[in-house]
Amino acid sequence: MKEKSIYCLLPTPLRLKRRHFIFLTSAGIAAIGIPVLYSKLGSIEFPQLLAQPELLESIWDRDTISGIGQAYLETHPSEDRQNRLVKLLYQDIPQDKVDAGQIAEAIKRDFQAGDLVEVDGWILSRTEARQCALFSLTSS
Amino acid sequence: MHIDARTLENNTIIEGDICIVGSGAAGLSMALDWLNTGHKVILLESGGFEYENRVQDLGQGTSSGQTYYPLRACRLRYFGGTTGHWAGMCSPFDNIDFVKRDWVPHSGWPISRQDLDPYYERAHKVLQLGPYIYELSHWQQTFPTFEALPLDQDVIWNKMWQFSQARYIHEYKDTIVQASNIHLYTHANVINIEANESVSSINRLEATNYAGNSFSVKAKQYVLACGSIQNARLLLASNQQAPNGIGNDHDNVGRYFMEHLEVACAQLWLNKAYSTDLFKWPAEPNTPRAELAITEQTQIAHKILNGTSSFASLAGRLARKSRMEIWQDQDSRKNMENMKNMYASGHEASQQSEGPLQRAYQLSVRIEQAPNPNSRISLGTDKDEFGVPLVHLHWDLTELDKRSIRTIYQIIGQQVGIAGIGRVRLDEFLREDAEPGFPDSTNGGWHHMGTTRMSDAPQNGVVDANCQVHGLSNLFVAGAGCYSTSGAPNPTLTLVALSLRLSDYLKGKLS
Repeated sequence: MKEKSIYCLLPTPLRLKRRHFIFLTSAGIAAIGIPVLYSKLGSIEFPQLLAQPELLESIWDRDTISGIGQAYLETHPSEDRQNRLVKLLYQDIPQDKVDAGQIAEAIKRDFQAGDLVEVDGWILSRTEARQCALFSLTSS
Repeated sequence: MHIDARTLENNTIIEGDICIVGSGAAGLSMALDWLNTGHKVILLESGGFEYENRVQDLGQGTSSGQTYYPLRACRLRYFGGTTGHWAGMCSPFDNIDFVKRDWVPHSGWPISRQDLDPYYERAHKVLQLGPYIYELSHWQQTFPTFEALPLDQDVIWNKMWQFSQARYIHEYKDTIVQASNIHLYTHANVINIEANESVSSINRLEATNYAGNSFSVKAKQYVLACGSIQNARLLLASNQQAPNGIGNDHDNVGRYFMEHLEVACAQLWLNKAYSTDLFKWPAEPNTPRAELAITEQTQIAHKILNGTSSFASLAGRLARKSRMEIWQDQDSRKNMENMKNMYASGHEASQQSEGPLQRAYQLSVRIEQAPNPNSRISLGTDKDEFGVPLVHLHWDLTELDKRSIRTIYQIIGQQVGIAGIGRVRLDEFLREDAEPGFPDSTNGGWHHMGTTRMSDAPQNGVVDANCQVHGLSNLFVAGAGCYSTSGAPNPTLTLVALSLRLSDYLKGKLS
């Protein structure tokens, strides 16, 4: 009850659902240990990690990540395709070495270079915003 | 010694070496500096030793522009002034606050930080602060839990604060009352400043005593120290010899009113708990704290104003209204009570938070307001019980104010991202697609500054580098009204330092 009274004050995309958070954290940890390839007919195959913004998973639930991804795509309609997003992400993350460390490095480079986007007020690296977008496309 | 002015006969003439109008932080700090000097100091206070509604009524006024607090409830009009309920936050201005910045119109003081350093040290004693040291490394020796966030120190540094517990009425009442050369007149209201024929010096102050009796004060030197709004009001209302008011030949009196914008601006969500007491509101006296500040070179690179950011529990902040919404009663005591209750409920909410919300913080800016001639005090149409016009405040914020705040949080967001410790989310009014301007909930710090600004030339301000009113040989202003720019820190430490500097200057003149 008290949890709800606090969370209901948060703006919509930020409302955290405890169950989702726990689930996502567990899934995120599992994904780091066991890379899973995501594939869909007609789509480029890519490791699931590419659609898992690790740091954001520690503060957001799945719905929020998906919502942020959708918001990013609304302002970047040219990227609103799964294959396009994967190709863009591979520009900054070596395709043959997709791991949490490489993704974190790419995100840090974005922040250092000022390659940032503002989505629903969040100041995000372009890479992680694209990760959210990819998550929203693949989870829908 | 203490004289209740209500006992004075009509047409009494009081004479002394120096007359200080106002016994708040500025005026009283000066008076204390004259103890046992052999000079007769007349100290005038419009109130007594406690809160009185009739006295507070004299500070009423109206406002327009950006929503502001009721003027009546912004200041305490009794001995000790607003130190009677201040939070005690003290930190010196930075070097950059005093210099001319080409991206900040009307910036630049005629004095530097170095000119004030010796007086900051003396102000520390009056305000009963710790040593005049503000380097984090010094305080970390005493407080090992003051762990800084791993942010690039070339971009963001930790500006330290000390906290004064000094309520002047408790600390200094007996000292002043027992002093043989300080003549404190309570319930004494100055209603007019009378100059000589050429308006080049002051002949006397005309005052009244609530009993309907008038009296005069004649001194060699006069110091207005009754707050930035009241000082400007008194100068503007003294218009019998100078139609625009005393010291107002260039229409600068009352203009450049500045506040500190203290506004909730963004959220910081950490990806894991970070253990530090550096940013915590101190539970114990003499415990400092820090706020994140933007380095000078970064301010220059981004052409922004100087500001800092504080931290508070996001859960607690979400459970609270803004201070501007809470502090709208005409009685500051009720406002204070409401605010305490609000903070208590916020604290309770923060204790109950769970999950990532426990690692989430509200970031609030504390920033100078860009000097702006359109942000001003003027005389209103209504008058107080003594026939002195009440004031009208037009609080006017600019695009530079808003762009600076937005940029500060973009910089913090970027640095937090580089450090990999979390993410920052801008509040709605700061986002790229937000409407221009500020919401009605925008807080000021109750800090009134700049209405009698310091300048080299009379065309650009009201007082010179010695706080002497341009063109008037024996009239001075003490207080934050003299600030050319307002810096980010709360004004009291700097205004006390500036007042002690003026005190030294006047001693030199009288010796």
